[in-house]
Amino acid sequence: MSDYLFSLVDLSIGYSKESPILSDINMTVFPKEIIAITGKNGSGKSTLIRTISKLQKPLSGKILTKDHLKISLVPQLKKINLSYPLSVEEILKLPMVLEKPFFQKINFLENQLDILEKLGILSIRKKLLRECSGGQIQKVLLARSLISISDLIILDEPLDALDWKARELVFEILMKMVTISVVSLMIITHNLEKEWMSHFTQLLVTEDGNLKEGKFGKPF
Amino acid sequence: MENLFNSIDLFLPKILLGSILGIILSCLGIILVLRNMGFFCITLSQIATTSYAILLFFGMHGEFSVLILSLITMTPLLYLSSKSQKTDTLLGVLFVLFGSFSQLILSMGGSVKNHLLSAYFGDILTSEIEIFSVSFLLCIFSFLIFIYYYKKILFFSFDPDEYLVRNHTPKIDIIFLIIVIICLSVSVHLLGSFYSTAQILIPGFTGLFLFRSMKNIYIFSIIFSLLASFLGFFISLIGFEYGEEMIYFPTSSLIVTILGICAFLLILFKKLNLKK
Repeated sequence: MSDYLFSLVDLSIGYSKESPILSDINMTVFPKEIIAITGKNGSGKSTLIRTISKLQKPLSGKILTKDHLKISLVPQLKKINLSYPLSVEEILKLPMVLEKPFFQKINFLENQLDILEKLGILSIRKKLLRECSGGQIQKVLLARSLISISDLIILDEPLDALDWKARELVFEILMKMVTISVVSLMIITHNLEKEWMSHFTQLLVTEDGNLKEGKFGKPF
Repeated sequence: MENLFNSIDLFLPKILLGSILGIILSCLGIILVLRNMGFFCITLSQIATTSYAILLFFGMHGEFSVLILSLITMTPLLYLSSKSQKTDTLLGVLFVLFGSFSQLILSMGGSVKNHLLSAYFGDILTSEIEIFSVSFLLCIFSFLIFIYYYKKILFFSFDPDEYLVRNHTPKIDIIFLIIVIICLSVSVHLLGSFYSTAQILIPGFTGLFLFRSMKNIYIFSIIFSLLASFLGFFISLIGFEYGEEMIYFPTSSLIVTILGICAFLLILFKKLNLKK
């Protein structure tokens, strides 16, 4: 049990102790897992991922994490500030500045270029992010997480801005990432395709103030 | 004009200092404008002005006193802003509070009145500033730190959640805000509140309207700020004849006016061109 990425123990989350959004949460995530979290709007999905990512403190309970756990977050489209005149390439390179010393030029590695190619954004890398379509922006945000070294990638409704074909492609790439690396994925989504169910190691539903085990084949 | 060249030695250090501070503020301003922190800057400069007035009232003139008092006064503001959901309202309340407090001190008259008026409107050419003052050098040093951390500051500004998830600390934002506070309070002390606020907001805002890359926006902001400063210095130094009198405009106000009018014309020109 010691090789977990993180473990939530009797966790309560929300904004006030009197009325927590979700309580008594217990779950453990291991490397190479694919977890889907679904639930109605306002049921606490986003609060849960903010708490796991340590952007928000839990009301009570514990979050146990492995040493130096590296998390990356793929945000919802509406949370991105498009007034910045930054190109796709600049956006993709932003997280790399945390690892590179000052003045060192940042270049993409071969495998990173490969991911961009597969996602179909290599050809638009000089384009301004604000001039991209919703689907392209979503792919850029996804690529930003995929090309950096992470133990866990949390995706907040990553597939909702994509059409059916793009959703299939992105899901396929995500599955491949899990196969070739030790990364785990936590996907928050409303769009659960039936064909994907077999890939999930855990399917969870935020419902009635609790995080419950979901039933496969019963998407929201 | 001949007089101008004869007295250039006297004014050159002030022109240089005003221009360098203008460049620093305009560069910091780009990130602030992108983060919609214009109101934050106005409130900060008001607080710096009030700090200046308080020190004048107690007869303290040291350049460091203004900086330290500004930092002490602004720290609770930063804390409250980070905790509050209604940041704009809070900044508005602080703005009127500090503005009124300055006016109360102003009403006590004496030398405070003149000093405070110059703290608001400023006049670079008549202020007692030195190019190698400690606070100015501190400002330069702060700006170098900004350049060093620029990419991290940009990352945090663009996507604070992703930055925090990866790095777990908002330290870089605190560094950025301290740089802004230092540069703004030094500039308010030396050159006046209006000049400082204008340099921080106008070039960045105009650049964002006109250009499509951060690099070009920085280049434009530096050139725009420099040209406006030099033009303002030049016009205010040569003056012009009105009737039988020579009129000399106050430099800082003239630079702010030039910045404002040019920004308006450039944006209008761009809009009209886009429509075509």
